Amino acid sequence: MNTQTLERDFSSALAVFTGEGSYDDFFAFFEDDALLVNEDIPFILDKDSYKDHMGFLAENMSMLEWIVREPRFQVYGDTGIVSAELTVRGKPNNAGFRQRHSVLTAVCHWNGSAWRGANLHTSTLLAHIYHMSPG
Amino acid sequence: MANGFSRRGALAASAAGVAALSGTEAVQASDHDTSEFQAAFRTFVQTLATGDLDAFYATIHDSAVIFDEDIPFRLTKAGFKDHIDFHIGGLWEGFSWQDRNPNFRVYDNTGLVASFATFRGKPVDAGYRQRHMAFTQGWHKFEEGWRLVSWHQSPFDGHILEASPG
Repeated sequence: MNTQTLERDFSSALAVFTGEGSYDDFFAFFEDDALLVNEDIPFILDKDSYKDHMGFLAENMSMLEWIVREPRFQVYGDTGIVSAELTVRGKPNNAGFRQRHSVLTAVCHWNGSAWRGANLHTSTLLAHIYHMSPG
Repeated sequence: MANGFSRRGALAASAAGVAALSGTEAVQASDHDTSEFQAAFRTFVQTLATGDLDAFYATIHDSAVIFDEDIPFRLTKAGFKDHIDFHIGGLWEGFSWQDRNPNFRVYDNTGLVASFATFRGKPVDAGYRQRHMAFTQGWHKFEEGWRLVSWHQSPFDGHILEASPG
């Protein structure tokens, strides 16, 4: 368990968003009791709800991609932390195109043979800018 | 009366629908014992509430990564401290950070908090301010105990505004 294996397993899980992996692999990366925060939803999601949302996006968009920028992988014993900038982009069916510039963190743990995700939190930069300065 | 009744019914139906869509009813407790981890989190929260910043910062690992709700960049612990110093340098008459409905997970030495929170207070010479948000924290259990290694806070407006393309 080190930053190289964390990068390998996390990148492999997200490969579906660059056309090189599968949703099955993406969802298998997360623990069944993982807690997820998605940039499009103001609630904490369990894995089933997150899968439902991703299915909705896949059904209503083409060319859906995640562009991970400046990823950083940190390991503390059996704990792995991923942080990065993120652009979610694609073409909604019958609409122009869409870009959601965001940041992400993932809390992961080493299960003895591989890294698993306990959490993935994505949030738009809008959230970190809008209304940050009162008065 | 009839209108009130029907409004209550509509609200109940709406709430049930929101719960079903959001999956909030399905968020289950972890099978692992989280009591020790929850105690560490509560102590951490209390250090902030009482202004014991030395203890607050001591719980945050020196290489922790932080996304603060007011800043669109990744922060180091030093950058986070600088931001907090800006806030406590005379800008506020009082503020508090309140976690709401936290969920805890523990996988061996890895701890996760996923929760909602409100940052609120009164800026000097202004009315008051509330920042409602979601947050997640990653923790690791070191030999000396649980310490925070990641913290991501994101206000709800960013999860709502422009979530639906036309």
